[in-house]
Amino acid sequence: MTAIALRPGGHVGGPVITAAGLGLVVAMRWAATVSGAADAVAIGSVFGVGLLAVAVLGGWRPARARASSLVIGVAGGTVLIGLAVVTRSGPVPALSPAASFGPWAAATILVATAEELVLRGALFDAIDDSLGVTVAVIVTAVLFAVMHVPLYGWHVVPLDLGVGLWLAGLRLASGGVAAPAIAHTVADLATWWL
Amino acid sequence: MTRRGATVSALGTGMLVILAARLLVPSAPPLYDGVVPLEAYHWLDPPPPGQHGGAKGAAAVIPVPGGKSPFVAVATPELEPQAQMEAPPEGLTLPPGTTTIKVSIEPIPGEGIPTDGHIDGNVYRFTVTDQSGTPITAPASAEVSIVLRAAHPTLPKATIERYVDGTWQPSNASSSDFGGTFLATVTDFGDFAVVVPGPAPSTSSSAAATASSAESATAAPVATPGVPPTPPASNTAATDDSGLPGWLLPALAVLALGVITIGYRATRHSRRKGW
Repeated sequence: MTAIALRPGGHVGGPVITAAGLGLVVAMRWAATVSGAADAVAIGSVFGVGLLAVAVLGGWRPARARASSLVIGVAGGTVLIGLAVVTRSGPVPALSPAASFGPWAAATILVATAEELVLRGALFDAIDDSLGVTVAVIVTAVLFAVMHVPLYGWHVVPLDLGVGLWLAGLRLASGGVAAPAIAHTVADLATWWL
Repeated sequence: MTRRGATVSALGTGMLVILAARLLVPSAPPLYDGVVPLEAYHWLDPPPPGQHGGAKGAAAVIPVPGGKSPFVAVATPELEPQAQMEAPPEGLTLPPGTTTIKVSIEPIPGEGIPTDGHIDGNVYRFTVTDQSGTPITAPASAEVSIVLRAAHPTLPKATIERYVDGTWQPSNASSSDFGGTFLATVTDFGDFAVVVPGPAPSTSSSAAATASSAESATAAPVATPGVPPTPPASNTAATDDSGLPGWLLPALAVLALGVITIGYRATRHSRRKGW
């Protein structure tokens, strides 16, 4: 119970509103996608900008990253790729690129980084401050899983829940959001080849 | 829990959950999320220009224990199957003496052109028989379903139609989902395809690839499947084909802006953290 007790001076209004902003941006991405408003890369780019806005308005500010975060992030992303490779059950599918690599990679980097700035950045810090680190880990991991349901379906929840926990672990291990952002980006970029 | 304990727990639990999910949910995306490139749609050979051929079928022989139809699920072998059939336990009406159920799903050259739209993808022939080749049907209450994937993954709306007596007929209870997959409950099997309302767009090869050879020969170059052509004007009107009212996006944008502004005011005095 100690872990979820409201800390002195803490408040849950900020995290709730940040989560609501995240939900609205996700809903807008879904609505734009199913209505065929634009292609996946364009919608993803707008989605990433929206997430950046939520992160900034939620309290995240740029700061110098620790050098160790780069190492931890690359290592964390490599582990995610390794888990995907060793557990692959079928042949490598024939992937049809959604666009040329450049725009696709730019959109992927933007989306992955922005998701981390919201979840493991602004939201994690706010929940950590008010409700404790355990709640921050769980809530951000659950939100990470749920936010992907509209586009990918409920079957992605177990996988993304695990990834959310892993990224939260990287956040704690490195002390900042750079490491999970790098790991997330590395893993997402690997989908081009995997 | 200490921060060190939370770190170790999050990393350890996360890895175990990832492993379990990867092993138990094989249909999950290749990796995690982001702007995922979709698996190419495989057309029945010869494919339209610039597209992938080699569409595959699937077949299964399923034992019938105790004369009651078991759970049946057969799908073509793509990462996201292009054609699937599923029947719940006791969902099929079996002829007397049935010992095995033979299920076959094969891409075939299509015949005819729908009067209410154009075919997007291959035509698939679903054949379900007993061991002697007698066709098997299903009661409507059983909700036996077939699922077809359209060639273009972000179609706002489409239906599954069945080719019967020389015409394409809409199946009942068809519905759509994101990802270009469409489901219909069926009572009989045969030739099915995804049909999109309206004429085929100039950049689409969908109907051409499954209609007459003359049409195939005149098909225009197609867009990359992951980047579908711009929807026709009717899809972006005030009330589009997906049922989403045109005012929804601006309203959500205004609502989002209001919420995050309120959030900013509520949290601007909180401690800021960076990378």
